[in-house]
Amino acid sequence: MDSSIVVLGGLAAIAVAVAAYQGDGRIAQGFKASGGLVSMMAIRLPLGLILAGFLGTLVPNDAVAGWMGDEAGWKGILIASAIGGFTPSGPFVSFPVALALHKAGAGLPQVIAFVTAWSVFAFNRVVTWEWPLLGMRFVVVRLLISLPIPPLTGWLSGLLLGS
Amino acid sequence: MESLEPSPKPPSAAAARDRRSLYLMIAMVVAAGVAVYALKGIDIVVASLQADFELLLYMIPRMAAAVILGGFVQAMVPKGMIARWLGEGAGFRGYALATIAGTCTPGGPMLSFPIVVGLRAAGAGYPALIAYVTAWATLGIHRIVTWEIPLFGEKFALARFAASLVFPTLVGFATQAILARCKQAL
Repeated sequence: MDSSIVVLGGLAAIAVAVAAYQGDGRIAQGFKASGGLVSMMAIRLPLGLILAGFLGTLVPNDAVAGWMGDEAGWKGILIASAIGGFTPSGPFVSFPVALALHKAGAGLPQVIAFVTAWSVFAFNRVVTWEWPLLGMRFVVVRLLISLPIPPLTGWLSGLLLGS
Repeated sequence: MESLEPSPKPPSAAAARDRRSLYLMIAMVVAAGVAVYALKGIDIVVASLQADFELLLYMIPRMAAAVILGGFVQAMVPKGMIARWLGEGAGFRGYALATIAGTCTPGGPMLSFPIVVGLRAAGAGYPALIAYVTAWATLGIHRIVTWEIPLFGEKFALARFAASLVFPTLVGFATQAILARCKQAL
């Protein structure tokens, strides 16, 4: 038992309790909508997991830090943004990689651009969750609009940190 | 019941698009599998599938809770309210609301994406949904507390949070502008 299942289970229990309090067939409607989600995810989620797993083995995490080198300034921020978006993993890999980058000499704006790109683009998460559940059109619109976010965040936080 | 349909599009068009995206996914899974087999050998293919299976077993109980939550949010929150607050053209108020909701959503994609699906079915538009996802990704308190502060410290976390603060709302406006232009062009 870890915190994620406790939090999720607790929130679900609260939702069911509120529906019960509201009455008026809300419980049935809730489970019907949940069933709709299950039927949509039943095939897509395993497919997304398999695809993310394969892609993850093709992009080596160890190489990520090496690719970024110690480019400074805008060039470093752009490289960090590009690499962050293609770092295939959860926070348990990306944050240690970011820390390693920082220790290896990458500046804070570059590290922040990397973390932001990873969290905004996270191609692993797009493949496992966003595409299966929300469709390609949503993914394309969101990714295109989000393109400037990581470099701008890196640059802005550099200004804030005075580096 | 009409309001519980997973997509606001007419069922036939949505179903055809869903089917196409499913075929595309299957094709990509096969292509990626062949690539891993060709470059790394069968052992890595098997190891990858085993890891996926273990992850799936880990996810199933959490997913069950997330799906119940997503479904009940969809059923309980009045459709008109979601459409009015988060529908297309919601404006600053809607994007700010989506930003706050995304910032406060705990946990990983297991929870946030079922919520997005539920909100979309209840009438939320792309601009607010994309603002929500962006806020969850860049401002999410959960990740800052679990990962960022322990590894990088408060100064780093605060600078990154402050630098990220405006983007979810800006993304909402940008999505709105692009969608409006696309509709004009059609």
